[in-house]
Parts: sequence; structure tokens; C-alpha cells
Amino acid sequence: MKPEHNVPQSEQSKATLSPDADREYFPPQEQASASTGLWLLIAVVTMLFFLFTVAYRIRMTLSDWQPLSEPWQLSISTAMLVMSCVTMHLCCRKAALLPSVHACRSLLNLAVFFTLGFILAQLWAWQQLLDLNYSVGGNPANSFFYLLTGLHGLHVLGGLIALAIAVFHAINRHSDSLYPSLSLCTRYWHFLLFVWLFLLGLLRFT
Amino acid sequence: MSNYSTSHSSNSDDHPQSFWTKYVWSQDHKVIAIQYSLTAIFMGLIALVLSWLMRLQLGFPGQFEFIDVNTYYQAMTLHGMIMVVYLLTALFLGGFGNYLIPLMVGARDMVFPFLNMLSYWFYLLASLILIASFFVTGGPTGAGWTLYPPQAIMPGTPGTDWGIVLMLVSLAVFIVAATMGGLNYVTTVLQARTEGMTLLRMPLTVWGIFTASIMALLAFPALLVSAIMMLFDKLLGSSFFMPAVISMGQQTDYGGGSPILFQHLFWFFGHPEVYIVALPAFGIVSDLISIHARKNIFGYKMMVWAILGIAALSFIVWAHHMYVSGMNPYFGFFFATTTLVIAVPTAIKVYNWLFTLWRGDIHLNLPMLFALAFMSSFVIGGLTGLFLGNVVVDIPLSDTYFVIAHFHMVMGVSPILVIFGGIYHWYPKVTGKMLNEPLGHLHFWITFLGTYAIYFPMHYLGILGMPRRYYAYDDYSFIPESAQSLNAFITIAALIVGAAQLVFIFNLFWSYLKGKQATGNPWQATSLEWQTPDTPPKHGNWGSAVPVVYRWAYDFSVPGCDEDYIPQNSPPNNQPPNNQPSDMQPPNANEAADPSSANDLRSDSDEA
Amino acid sequence: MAIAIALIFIVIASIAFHYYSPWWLTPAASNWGEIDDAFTLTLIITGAFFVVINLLIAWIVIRYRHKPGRKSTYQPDNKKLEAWLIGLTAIGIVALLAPGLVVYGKFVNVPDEAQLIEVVGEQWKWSFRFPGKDNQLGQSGIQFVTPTNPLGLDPDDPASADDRIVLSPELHLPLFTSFKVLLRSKDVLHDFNVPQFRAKMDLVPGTITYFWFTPTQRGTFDILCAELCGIGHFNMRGRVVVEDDATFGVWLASQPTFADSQQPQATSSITNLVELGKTLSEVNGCIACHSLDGKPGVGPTWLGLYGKTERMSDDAEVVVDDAYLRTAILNAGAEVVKGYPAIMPVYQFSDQEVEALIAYIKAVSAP
Repeated sequence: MKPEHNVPQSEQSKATLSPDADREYFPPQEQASASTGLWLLIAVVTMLFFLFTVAYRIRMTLSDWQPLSEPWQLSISTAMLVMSCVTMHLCCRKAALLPSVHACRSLLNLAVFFTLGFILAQLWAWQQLLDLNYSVGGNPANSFFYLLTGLHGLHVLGGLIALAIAVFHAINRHSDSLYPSLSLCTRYWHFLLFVWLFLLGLLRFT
Repeated sequence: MSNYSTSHSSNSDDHPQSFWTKYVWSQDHKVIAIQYSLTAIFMGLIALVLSWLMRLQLGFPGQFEFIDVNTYYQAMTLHGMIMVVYLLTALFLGGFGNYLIPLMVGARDMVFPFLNMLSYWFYLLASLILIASFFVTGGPTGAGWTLYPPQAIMPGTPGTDWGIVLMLVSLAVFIVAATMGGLNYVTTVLQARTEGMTLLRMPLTVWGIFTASIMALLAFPALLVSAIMMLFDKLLGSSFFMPAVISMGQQTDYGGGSPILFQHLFWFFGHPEVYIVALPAFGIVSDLISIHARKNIFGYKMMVWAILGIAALSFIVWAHHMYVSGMNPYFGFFFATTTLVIAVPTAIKVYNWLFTLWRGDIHLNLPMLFALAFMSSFVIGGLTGLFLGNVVVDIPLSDTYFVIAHFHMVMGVSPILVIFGGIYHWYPKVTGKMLNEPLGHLHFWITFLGTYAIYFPMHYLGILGMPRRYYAYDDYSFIPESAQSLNAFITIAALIVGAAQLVFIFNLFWSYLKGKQATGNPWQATSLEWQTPDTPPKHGNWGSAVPVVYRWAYDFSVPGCDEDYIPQNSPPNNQPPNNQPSDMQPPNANEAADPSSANDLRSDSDEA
Repeated sequence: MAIAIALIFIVIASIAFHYYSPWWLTPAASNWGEIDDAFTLTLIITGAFFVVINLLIAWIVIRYRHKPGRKSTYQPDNKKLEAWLIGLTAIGIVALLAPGLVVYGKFVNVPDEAQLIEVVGEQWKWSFRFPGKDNQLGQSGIQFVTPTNPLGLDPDDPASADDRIVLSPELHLPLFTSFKVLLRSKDVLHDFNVPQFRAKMDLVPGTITYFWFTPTQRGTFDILCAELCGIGHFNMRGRVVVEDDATFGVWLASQPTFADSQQPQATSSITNLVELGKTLSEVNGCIACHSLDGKPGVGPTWLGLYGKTERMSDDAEVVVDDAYLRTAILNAGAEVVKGYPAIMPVYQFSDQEVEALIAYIKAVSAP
């Protein structure tokens, strides 16, 4: 978490080099709290998707279930989500060394691009299904598809909002809060990727 | 270790603050707690009036024309939902939790103050959405607080146009609020305790609310899942819960869904929910008893284990609400066993409260009176749970007035008594004034004796076999006339008890303006919230220096000490060694070490 | 001190109430009277706890209430005492649970000799079906439900033909015969509950649930729905008549079989139109919502209905005559009386049946 180089003090505003390593730029207790808070949120969201999975498994045993073949757009969206996680991770590592928004700008933009790409690809998949007349209410397999992908997508959007707030704070405060926030966002991104892969498996293999 | 959160820059002491940032958009946990509490009490008053509508119809059937069948079932549904979720959960977690947790653990505020503020506004939004359901076409839903499908979204039940939709949306918003709050309470307890405040030195109030918050984080998702799926069924025509049904003579488009799936999901939330309400009450009452009997809580560690054990077990008992639901009958064996097992840690808590009082120095002020009343009502409420948990005994009693009497005693009367006790106890800290005593006594006696008069006889109506959720009981051969008279009696008692609550509300506001000035620690309690430099505590709680903790929260009547209490932040010089609960000291050893206290006891017993 | 007195008073009053209370278990009319034994055991154990703990609180308050100079004992813990209490409580719990589970074991095991009977529930009435001589109930399903086939039996299933259909809400059963009661719902959750039989079970649409019992007392017993099923829940009436084998046999033989009910109805000479109307009103659940004695219900009462001037939902005032009633019965949604919900089901009746209903309504309007 601490920067690895000891660099002499230089100008703070939009600086590209890390500050004096002795200076506490983000109290560790606050970071610990934010980290705990995020783990708890991850537990809550896990519980949510776990319960949906249980409902899914129970509902699929009933007589009217007609399995759905997943639209091909899901491979695109999955690739997008993987790329978004990769770029978030790279961005986070860069911010550890160069904790300014300016320096991480291009990676941040890529991460947001891929995340939005994921959302759009998901919507494209929905469009495809609707065109083939797989309506929400038509069959429980359909209903679950829209429900699970929709909720996951909403959580991804929530993550984007959190990322935007983190970047906003980092720009405005002239402080170096970018790395800690970014590491939390990255954790959340990885978690959502894990959830997505799980959902994909659930939908694919049942 | 710095405790001052950097993220609420706009609220530091040297900033001039407007009325709005100080009292409305405040991020101070104390202000947010009061906001939660006032909103919850307001919602509770609405639910109280709804209960009067029900009781008027049951006590004097047909006499009040405006209480027709629809109104009755709508009142019944909203009464239940508001009381369980919008009053009890919000008040214990958002009200008591928000106020007490940072103070009791020695923090300056919650770890996420902005999120804390947001959680209140989401809670208010949820409440407003629910109230809005009174004003839409068809009115609020009348499906019962359990909202079972298929009836909840089919004609024949009130409010299936918009009422049920608003109810589900309101619940979803509440769950978001509760999650935000829960993240705050749990993280604050884990991360923001002051130096020396180990987990096993926290007062039981904190343990109760902390554990309940963890449960809330894990249980509310089940309600969200059910609500979202039911909204899908209602608005998008899916069939998660809807089997093929005939509605009012016509076939519908639904098919294949499982109403029992809803029940499993709902009760997976619903059972932990009742412990989310009960555990803070257990924690608070432990502290009330301890402080007002000037005696350490007996078996502190066991009490903590009991809280954790009850919390864990509460997640595996849910289908005791479903014994006659048509689920696989063999599940009944499992759930009856787990349900009766959960009675063991609960009983331990009752024993420990008794042992705390035993050989204590019991001051019969209002908080203690309410705590004693809690013990009595909780005992009967919990014991009747044993009837309902034992699957085969539950079968004739299911869906009768026995169930209503049970859950009102154990959810309605007992936690509410603790809420009152807690408010009479902490009011001096929150406002700097004492609540008026004579009014308090009037409130206490009517409430305590009145609720017994309402709910004790009700059990017998259930044993007789009178079903619940009935608008009227016309000409059932096995129901005697006297049952109707008993219903009338219960109604009168309920109206009187309801009126007494207005005395309490009046007291709250009147004492704020005109009440006796309170000192900083009028009850001479040990926990940190009573050791603040200012009363009411200012923003930041502790002034320039946060407290350091040297002992647990129950150093009352420590042998060899002049005062009968030692605050948690009182350093150990000149005091007897820290009496941690891990020291196994039989009572006799203490008396031998301090003969003067033994003499005191002997002389007291002469007077008794 | 007053609190101690109050607690003692509560204990005494509770015990007195228990002994003088006229509200107690109905006499058990089935083999599940043995549930009452588990109930009584629970009552004794929990009653003892209730009395002891309340009196203990009272005594502790009296003995240890604050007096000047009193100091409480410092006693953080007593592990041995706690262990004993946990042990004793656990034993108490087992003593409660074990007998209950033994009885429950019997409850879930349907005896081989149990006869089949099907109960069909809908908003807001009960119907019944007996298997015929083939001892098999025909297949059923929502998709088969029509006005002439209200129980939705599969007409192509040979087992259906001899099933006895009972559309009136009165079920007869023979004494001392075990029955496996199959439960089926056409719309929402209901619960078939006769307090004297002790056993009950929900009806779940989309599945068939069951329980079993043996009636052991003669008599007529009320059926009360025990799962909130909408605004008619409290008035979903029915009766179970338990009688000896011979009387039951006569009754069963007089019930139509499914095959009979599917024959086109001959316009038989009905001597009493009012009687027919009364039967129809019971069989079709009219009386769940329309009372006969003026009491408010889901729908307008029939007492004093004929000839009355009703205010409709659009504030128009209409006189209740034959034409009005005909519309109200066959096309209820067309116009609704002010203050009542528009939830009357769609019915299809023959002209003669409509006449009969109108005649019956006339008859009860002015007793």
C-alpha cells in the first residue's frame, strides 16, 4: 500500500511522482474500515446471488421449465468483463507507483470502456432474445435469464458509480486517495467477474 | 490510532454550520439516530391506529361500517409490516444502534458517516412509498404481512393493482437502507473501537446490535429476492411463484410456479428477522438490569456466546413457520429439532438475568421496571414458542389466535418494553433532561398490565381453535358467545393501552422542553457513553481526547472499592485488579477479601 | 415492590384464568386426540417454568431491592452452575421434543388401509370427490375446468367416470374409517381445517397435498379455512358430517358420479324453484360473500335485497328487480354496487338455474 520509492517532495497538484513516503496520505485505519466494509458488501451480494441460485435450482425442477440456449453475445460480454478486470488491475498497480489521476488516465479510460462494453453487450444479448420471442414472462428459464443478468448488470453499474466518485475525490482533493479507492474498486470488479462466471456456468450447464 | 474520519470535512467543530447541515443533512450519528427514531415512532403510531381498526371490528363486529372487509385486511397487513420492519428493525438498528455504538466503543462517529446519512434518507423514502400505497387505486395491499402468492397478486385480495407493487418497492428501498446501515454498524464495531476496547469488553448492548446487524446483512437479501421475483410475476407476467390458477372464474396465463418456494425464501428472511429484533433487546436489557441492580452481568462470556449461538441457529429454523404449508413433511423433524435447540441459549440468557438480579442492589426506577416487565413477558412469549416449535403440537394451533398471542408477546410486548426502558434510561444522555417520573409510572403500569390483559387470554381463543385473519366469526358451532365477549374485553384493553402510549409521546416532548436537568451520568453507569465530557455529547463525542479503556463494562460493586461503580475508562491505579470474566472467582472469595461488604449484607438481611 | 406484587398477582390470575376459562380445546373427534397429550405435556412443563420464574423474579425483587447501605455481591461467573443449567434445560427440551416427534412420526405415515377422499378448495367454497368402485381418483387439472366440470376432471381418463362429485360444501364421512385427504386448490392457498379433527393442511395450487385422519365421533363439524385466501377467507364455509357406515353409504350413493354430471341436463321437473336456488347458492359459493341475515360481507347481503333501491358505483340508483338480478348473476362486472369490490366470479347458469336463484333471493329478501 505504501509507495515503494522515497522521492523528494515536489509540487502536489496533479503531480506525477509520489510524495514523501513518510507522510500519511490516507490514514490506515480508514483504509481498514473501507476494506472491511467492502468485504461485508461482497458477503451481502454473495448471499443475494446464492439465494437466487437456490430459487433457480428449485424452479428448474418444475414441469414447465424449458432450458434456454444462451445468445452468442454472451461470449463478447464475458470477454469485455475480463478485459475490464485486467485493465482495472493494471490501473491499480500503476496508481500504487504513480498515484495521480493524470498518470492513470488512459488505463482508467480503458477500464470504463470495457465495463460499458460489457453492459452494452449484455443489452445486445437481451435484444437478441427478445427478437427471437423469448419474453420475460414466457418461460421461467427466460425470466431467470433476464433477472440474473439484469441484477448482475445493475451491480456493475453501481461499481462504475463508485469508481466515478473515487476518481472525482482524487481529482478534487489533490490528495493521493486514488490508489486505496482503486484497489477497493478492483476487488469489487474481480468479485463481479467471479459472480458472472458462476452465473454463466449456472445458465450454461442447466 | 486516529479515529477522526477524514471524510466528513463539512462538519468539523470550527465550521459555522447552518440549521440544514446540523439537523437535517447531518452526518453525525447522533442526529441520524434521532431522525431514525422519530420516523420509526411516527410509523409505529400509524400502525397502532391500524391495530385499533382491527380490534374495533373484532370486539364489536359490524358496528363500525367504515371498517369493511377490505379495510380490515389492509389494516392487518400494514400493521404487521410497519411494526416488524419500519418500527422495530429501524428503531433498534437505526435508532439505538446509530446512537449507542460509536459512543459505547469510544469512536467519534460511524466509519462511513455519509453512507449513514444516506441510509436514513433511504429509510424515509421507503416509509413514504409505503404510506403512498394508502392513496393509490385499490389502496394498500391486504395480503397479510407475509404477502403469500398467489393471492397477493390476484383479485380477491385488496390492493392487487398498485398496493402490492408499492409495498414490494418500499421493502426493496428499505433493504438498501438497512444494508447501508448494517455495513456501518458492523465495520464500526470491528474497526473503530478505541484503545483498550477489546471485543470482550464491549457492553452487551453493542453485542446485541452488532450481531443483529450481521444477521440483517445476510437475511434481508432473501426478502429482496422474494420481492423482486414477485414483482416480476406481477408486472412482467413471469411464473416464479404462480402455478396454473383460475382467477374469478377465468384461466390465467400463469403456470408452473411454486408458492412454497416463496414461503421458503420469505421465512429464510423472516425468522432471522425476529431475532434481529430480539437480540438488540436482549443486549439492552442485560445492561439495564446490570446498571440498575448495581451488579455485573452474570456470565458475560456465556451471554456473548448465547447471542452468537442464537444468531447462527436462527438461520436453520425457518420452516417452523411452514409445518402445514404442504412442504415435504419429513422436513418437520429437522426444523422442530433445531427450533427447540434454539430454546437452550435463550433459556441461558433468562437464567443469567435472574442471577444478575440475585444478590443485587435493585433500584426500582423506570428502566428497571421495564426490564423486569420484559423478563416476565418474554418468559411467557418464549414458552409458548415451545408449543409452536414442536411440529405436531403446532398443527392444531397453526393459524389460530395462539400464534398471534405468541408473537405479540415475544415481538410486540417484550422488545417494546425494552425500547421504553432504553429510552427512559438514555434520554438524559441524549437530551440532557430527565423524563417525567409520574407520567413514566402511569405509562409503565398501564402498558405492562394492559398488554398482559390483552394477550394472555388470547392464547385460549387459539386453543379453542379460533382461526386468525378472520374478519368475523358468524355462527360457528364450536365458538361460544363468551368468546365474543372476551374479544370485546381485549379490544377495550387494547384501546386503553394505546392511549397510554400517547402519554409517553407527550412525555418525550414535554420533558425535552420542561424536564428536570440531568447530570452527565445520572444512573452512575460504567459504559463509555456516560463518560462523555458534554451532555448531550457534542459532535465528535469526546472533545480533544478519545477515551482509553481499562476494564469491562460491568465493574459494579467491586469489593474493596468505595464507589459502587468503576467507569470503563477509569485507570487501574488504586483499584482492585481487573476482574475479567475469565477469572473464576466464586462469590465467597470476594466476601472473604472484603469483610466490610459481607457485614453490609448481613445487616441488610436483618432489615428484610 | 409494587412490581413484585404485580408479578405475584399475574401468576395467581393466570392460574385462575386457566382453571376457570371456558375457552379450551374442543373435544377431539379424530384419532389425533393424541396430539392433545403432547400439548398437555408441553403445558405442564412450560406452565411450571412460567410460575417458577415469575415468582422467582418477584421474590428477588422483594429480597434484594435497594435499601440504604445495601451493596450487591460481585459475582462475574459460575461455570459449574451454568453447565448444570444448560444440562437440565437440554433435558427439558428433549422431554418436550421426543414425544412430539413420536406422534409426528405417526402423522407422516399414512396407513395402508386409508381410503382416499379429495377436497377441492377455491375462492371461497369447498367441494369434494370420492373415488368410485375402482378406488382410483381420475386425473385432474386446471385446464379441464369448465362450468360443467368445475372440479377439472380429465374426461378422457376412465378412472374419472365413477368418481362421486360433491359440489355442496357438506362432506359426509363414515365413523372409524381412516382417510387420506388429498387437497387440491383451483386458485390460491387455502387450508382445510376442522378444529375437532386437530389435523390440518394447506391446499397449494399446482400441487396436491395431503394429511390423514380417522373420525372417531359422530357429529357435524365446521370446516374453517386456515390460510388467508382473500377477502372471503373468513366466510369460506363447509361442514363435515360423521355418521355410521350405513347412513354414509346412502348419502354417497345419492351423489352424482362424474359420468352422470357430464350428461346434458334434462329439463327435469323441479318442484321447488326456491330449493334449487338454495342448493345452487351453496354449491357455487354465493353464500361466502352474500349473507342472508343482513351482516356486512364481501358482497351485498340478500336480506331485503329484492325490491331495494341500490346505488351503483357510478352513483346511479337502480331498483333491484328480475332483470337487475339476471345481469348481476351472469355479468357481474357490468355494474357494481357502490362500496363493494368488483371481484364476483364469472358464472354460467342455464335459464332455469337463473330463475331458481332469483326465486331464492326473493324468498330470503323478506323472511
